[in-house]
Amino acid sequence: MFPLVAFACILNAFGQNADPAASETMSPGQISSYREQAIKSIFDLETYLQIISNKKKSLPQRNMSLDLAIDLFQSDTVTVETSSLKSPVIHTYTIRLYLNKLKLLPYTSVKIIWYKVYLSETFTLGADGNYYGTATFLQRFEGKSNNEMGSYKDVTQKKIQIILKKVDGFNGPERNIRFILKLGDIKVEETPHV
Amino acid sequence: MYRFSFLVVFLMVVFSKAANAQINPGADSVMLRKFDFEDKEMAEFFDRFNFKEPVQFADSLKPSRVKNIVSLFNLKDAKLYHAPETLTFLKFTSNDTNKIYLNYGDKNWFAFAHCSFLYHNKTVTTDIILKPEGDSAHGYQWLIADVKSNLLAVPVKGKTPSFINPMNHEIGFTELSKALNNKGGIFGYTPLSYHPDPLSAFLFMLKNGDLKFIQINSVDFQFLQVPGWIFSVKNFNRSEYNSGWLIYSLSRMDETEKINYIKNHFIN
Repeated sequence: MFPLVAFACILNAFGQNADPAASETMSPGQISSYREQAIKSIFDLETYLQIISNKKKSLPQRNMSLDLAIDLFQSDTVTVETSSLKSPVIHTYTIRLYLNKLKLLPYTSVKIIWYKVYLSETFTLGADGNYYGTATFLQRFEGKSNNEMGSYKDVTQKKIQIILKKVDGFNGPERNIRFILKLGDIKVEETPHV
Repeated sequence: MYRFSFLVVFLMVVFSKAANAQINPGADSVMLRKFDFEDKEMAEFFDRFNFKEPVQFADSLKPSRVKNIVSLFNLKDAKLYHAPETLTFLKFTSNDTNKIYLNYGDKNWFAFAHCSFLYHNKTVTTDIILKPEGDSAHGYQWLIADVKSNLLAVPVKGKTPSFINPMNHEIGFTELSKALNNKGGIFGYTPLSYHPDPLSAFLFMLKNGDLKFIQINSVDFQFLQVPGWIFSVKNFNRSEYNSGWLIYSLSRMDETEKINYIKNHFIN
């Protein structure tokens, strides 16, 4: 199962480069064509999170998913906010640190499900040439443990920045500008009791 | 006008009932419905205000622009939604012939990031005011327009005049030495034309490490682009349908007042 998922995700990573735009800016129609890809990237990340946190998977599989998850992001300086019903404090980690912490969570099993994604149609051109949008989604987290830590579950509303990153290059002698979809910072909006 | 008022009052009552209805967060289906109602992002606020994203609030209610805009108010604030100004605002903005639309590229909207900093081992709060700058061809970015903080407040000039005598240069500005030790009265030694620039002071304090950033506590927005009005929007994070980015303050403000307001509050 895992090699198939990984292969599909690698294909997707290449697929992100498949729609080069000829000019430095995109029409609303062109931007809109990235919406599906944005949703796909978000759910790819969810798949990786599930594998990274799954202690039944082998360590190499989990480490590979961690690297693939990081590849979905704009850079490894991207930050992720986390919250817990046990504390009002919101912690902020860089993406790699967050994923490593996820890998080492002291639960025997962890279930992370993302659902109900809202993606605004608005992508705004930044002064750096990239386009920026935001998606909001609900995350259900369930951690089960046999030790004194017990089980924990919550539903969190989160936001993730979506970036259509401009890549300026050449296709032979011709200038070729294309946009690659990347994920950005993740912010916690709300953690209600479930 | 009477029919419109009746419709708005009816909508207010319907929506405020929904707003006051506590959601049982344990029920997934209710949470999902809340997710649909909630104004989750500022982009969604714009889309709902402009009726680009019609919202179906109840099966029996056909979506309309006025319903969309009503839903963008904090309906738990009865004083706000019963105010006659709110009704006038709704009538004005929802009338398509007035062409009132909000766009990211509008010049007259600002964000306030309410932040905490550490200054001499004490936590101080500071509001950073940001404005979007750019155009649709070259792209946009948020820029720091100004900063508000008690830390940067200019002291009122004291009763004792600050004074360096006119011939004090002859003796090497001895009174300047005294002035520079007079912390409380130092601003009194500046020309009448001097206008302190809190933003520069803030940036230097950050750069020099005197001020250390802790966190952004909350963010809200002010919109001045609707002719004759100013309104503020903040995030209501609550388990209710009427939640997310909502209007919590609305006042009349003519265009001259707006120019002065921007000059006094946003541009140092």
